[in-house]
Amino acid sequence: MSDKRSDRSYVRELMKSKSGLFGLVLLSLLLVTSLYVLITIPQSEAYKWDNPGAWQGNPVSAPPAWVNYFGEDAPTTVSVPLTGWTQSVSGSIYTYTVTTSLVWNHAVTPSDFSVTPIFNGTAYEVSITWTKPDGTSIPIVLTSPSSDSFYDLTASSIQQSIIPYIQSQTDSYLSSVSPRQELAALFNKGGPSILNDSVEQGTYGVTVQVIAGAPQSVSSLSKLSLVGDSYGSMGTDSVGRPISLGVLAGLPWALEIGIISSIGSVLGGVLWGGLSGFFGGWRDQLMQWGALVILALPALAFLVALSYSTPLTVLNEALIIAALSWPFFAILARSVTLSIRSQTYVEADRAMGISSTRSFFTHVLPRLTPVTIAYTALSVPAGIITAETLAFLGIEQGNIITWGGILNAAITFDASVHGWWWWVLFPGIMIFVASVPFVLVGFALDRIVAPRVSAK
Amino acid sequence: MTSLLETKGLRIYFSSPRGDVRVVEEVDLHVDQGEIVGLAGESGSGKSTLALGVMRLIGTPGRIAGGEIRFNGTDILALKPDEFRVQYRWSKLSMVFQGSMNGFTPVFTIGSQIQEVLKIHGHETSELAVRKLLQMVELDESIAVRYPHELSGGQKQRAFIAMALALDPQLLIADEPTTALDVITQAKIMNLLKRLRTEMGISILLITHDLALLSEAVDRLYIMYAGRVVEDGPSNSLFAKPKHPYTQGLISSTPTLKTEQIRGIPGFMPDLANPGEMCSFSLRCPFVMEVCKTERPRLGKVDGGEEVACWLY
Amino acid sequence: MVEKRLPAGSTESGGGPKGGGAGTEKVISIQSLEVHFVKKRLLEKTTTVKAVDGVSLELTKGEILGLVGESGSGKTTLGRAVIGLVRPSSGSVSIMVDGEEKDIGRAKGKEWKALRRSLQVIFQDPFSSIDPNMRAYDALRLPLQSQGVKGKEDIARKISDVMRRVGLPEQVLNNYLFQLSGGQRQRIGIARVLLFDPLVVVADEPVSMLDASLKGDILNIIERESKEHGVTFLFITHDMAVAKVVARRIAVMYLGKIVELGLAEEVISEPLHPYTKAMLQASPTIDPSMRDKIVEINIVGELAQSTAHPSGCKFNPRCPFRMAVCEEKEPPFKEVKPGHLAACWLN
Repeated sequence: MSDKRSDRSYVRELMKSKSGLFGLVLLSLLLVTSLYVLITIPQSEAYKWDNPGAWQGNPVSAPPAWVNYFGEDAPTTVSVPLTGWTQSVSGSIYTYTVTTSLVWNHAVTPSDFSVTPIFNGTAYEVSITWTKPDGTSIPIVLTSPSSDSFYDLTASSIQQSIIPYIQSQTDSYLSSVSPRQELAALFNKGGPSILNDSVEQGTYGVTVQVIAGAPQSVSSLSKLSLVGDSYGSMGTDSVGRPISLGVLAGLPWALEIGIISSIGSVLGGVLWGGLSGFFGGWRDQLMQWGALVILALPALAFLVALSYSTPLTVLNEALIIAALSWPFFAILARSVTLSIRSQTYVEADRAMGISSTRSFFTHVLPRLTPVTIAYTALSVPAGIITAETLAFLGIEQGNIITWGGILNAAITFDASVHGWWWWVLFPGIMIFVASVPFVLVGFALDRIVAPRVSAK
Repeated sequence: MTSLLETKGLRIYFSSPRGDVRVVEEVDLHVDQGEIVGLAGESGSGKSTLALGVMRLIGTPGRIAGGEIRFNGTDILALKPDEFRVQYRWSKLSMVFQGSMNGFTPVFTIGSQIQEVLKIHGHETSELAVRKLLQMVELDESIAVRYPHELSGGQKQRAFIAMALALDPQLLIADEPTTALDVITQAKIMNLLKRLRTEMGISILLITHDLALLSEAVDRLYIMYAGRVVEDGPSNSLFAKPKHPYTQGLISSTPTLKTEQIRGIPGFMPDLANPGEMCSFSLRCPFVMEVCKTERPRLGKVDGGEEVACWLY
Repeated sequence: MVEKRLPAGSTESGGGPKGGGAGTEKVISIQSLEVHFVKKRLLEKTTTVKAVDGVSLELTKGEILGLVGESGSGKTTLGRAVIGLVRPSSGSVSIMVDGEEKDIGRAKGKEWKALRRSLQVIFQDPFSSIDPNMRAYDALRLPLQSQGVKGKEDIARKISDVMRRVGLPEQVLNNYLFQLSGGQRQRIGIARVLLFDPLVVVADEPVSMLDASLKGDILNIIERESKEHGVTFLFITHDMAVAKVVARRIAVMYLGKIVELGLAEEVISEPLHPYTKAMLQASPTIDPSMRDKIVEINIVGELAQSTAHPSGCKFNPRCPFRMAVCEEKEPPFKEVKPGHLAACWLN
């Protein structure tokens, strides 16, 4: 019958319960990951998120790379290294050349073809000779290129190079060409049927020449990439942003807001309810009325309205959420307080001349504390979900990445219609995953604490 | 002659993290036709658990760990739960619990609740039947249309007894039927129980901690301590000359109008999870001897038709 | 264990015999006390329950007065009024402290707190009258500190002293209340009271929730405190037999009024009021010969549980000796024999 009831024993008992232990482990994992994210992914990445230009080179709306294990043929981006430039001079023309090859064994084309030459100074042109396995070559010329610029199939230089090739193969006239047609031209067998869907597998040769009027140092950071159809662990969105980055970056924010709003609402509520029960009389009635009014408010509508009037930061958003969620805990704390104050030992205190304040601290507070802790854990998920819902509706602090925000973008770009499941699944699941440890720990705590809340 | 109720070596244990708590250990008792038998003991003696065991109302973490319970010769522990429920519980033996007065639902009238019991067991449910039952417990028939909160404590207790008698049982187990009632009402309820025995032939197993109350009502009684019977026998000889030191202590602890002073029994009950091989009372016994601490005495016959479990005899 | 009693004849207030060390000075004075509980509800009739309806009583220093009644008689409320936990609706209850008479019912604030040193209460339920979540030591330390006792040695000394007086070993102090048995908890409850060195203690059914084998010790502690330290006890109980063990005088209460008052032996051997008579008849003793007999109790019904008190003598609807006058006028509470008072038209 004797169990030590110190606060340390709560942790010990928590660890004894299987679900509690599991919850604690998960929670630590989340916290460690958050810390990791905060340290390794600097703010600048978040700013990059809002800048589509930063994501060129990533496949767009691409599923996770591991779908390839499930029978899909979705090649990841192949980056062809361009190293070993040789220089040849002829008069005042400096030519830098590199030749390499790559193997393409997929039944589908890449989703894009891009070149990023890096050199210093100016160059007259960059020409790429693309040799297909069947021996035919396509010359692609970039006129007046600028260094470190991203040229892909949407660039006019490339289009201008490919159109004549296609025309020569199909004997037809084209005024413009789509990326799909460009890719077909690059990867199909030559011939009149070049624009159909078959892909020539085999070894492709690439020769890149940079022609300039003055000596250059052409960097081996120059890239040629065949942008893939799949990317990373969680795929990309319609701008090419990796979902995995979004998921990681959203974690610390979600945890922060969930925890702060939870602590705020539980502490505030318990304080309110405890005092209400302690005062009794008209003060109690008034405070109860106040709690009930707030309880009756349509929280989400209010949150939306409030959010438009104040610029949002993590702190004030959390406080706004807390300000609308505390009544539940107030009512709970008040009923615990009242039931304890009706106990004989409180009457005995009075008979001994102990003040009601002292009595409150001796009997009521120690019984409120464990409940408070359990409920704090349990109400974090609600905070997270509320915050993410707001983010989903477009209401969030500027310049941060949130799961709700990602989902918002997904809806805007009709992700479900297009079948881009990864865009919706991963952020959505994260909301759940972030909630699970709190629920596990909270319920385990509640089980430990519940028998001790009763007045006896 | 077969007893109406007989237990042999009954053991009821409750499982706990520290092992089995032996709430009832090796109890033999019997109640014959037309008797009022008493079961005395303090809290922790196991007497209420015994009653629940006889009614097969022991739930987890408790269980009947051994022994027999026979009703009119039939081993009721061997019956399937449904068989027992339909054929025995309430119809052949019923129980009035401690605080039964609160055993009524506040939202239905007394009459309708009694009728419900009759209906479930397929008995006649007429108002006449209800009225007869209320008459048996000396309640006016107008009680049938009242709600439990309109009745006094004594009235509710009688009404519950009526409900316990609804199916015409042969044995009524009354567990502390008069606690929480004032002394005058208590005397009247005891009168009622005696009448039920004399006029209607119902046998009663009366369980209480109040020895004085028991002495004025029972023909025979069992004294329980720490889950075992330590003394039993006819009421006359047991009260005239109590033999077990616990019985003696209990009697001298019971305040009555005739006592001048009372003494307590110092010490505490042993741990029922690890009773060990010694007399359970040895820790508190004023006559404790060496053998008491190492060997457990068994019930043995002594004069006066009694049995005592004590090394003094 | 308490010493043998002197025979019934020599019961004079003056130390020695049962009822503790009774002196002759008056310590508690209750005058025409009335305590009403008014229940006001919206849209319903206001109901008034007269829990205590005109009680006048005096307690002499060092005596143990047994207040006997069933639940609903008002005995608990009377006890609460004597302590000051409930305010009188009319009448007064006062205590003599250091030669001064102080009104308990109207004391407020500091005065009320100062009275706590003289006036204490032992509650009925040891499981709820002390916080089970506390350590025994803290349960004793806090009241001391609230009375301004500072200094660790002082506190430890006082606690050690009361533990000895209630017969508990000091190791128990380290335990939490929930680890202790009912009997132990009740002793802590008494220890808590003794810390104040009170003049008067109201013991509200202190042994009703304890097993028989534990009652004796508690009652002995109460008697000893009364004899050795001159503490006056108002011992509230529903059990006449328990009152007989400790009380010098017994007061019988019914529906808010005292119906009989006298020395314990006299009230028990020659009761004057029909209600007292019925209670005594109904109280069981160790008597196997009774099992074939039905105890004839002529009292009908049970204690009226509502606000409607009968007119005239409150007991008249149930009284087997009811006469016409009983329904019309309330009988006066008068001395029928020296030291023995009753309120009944039969006397």
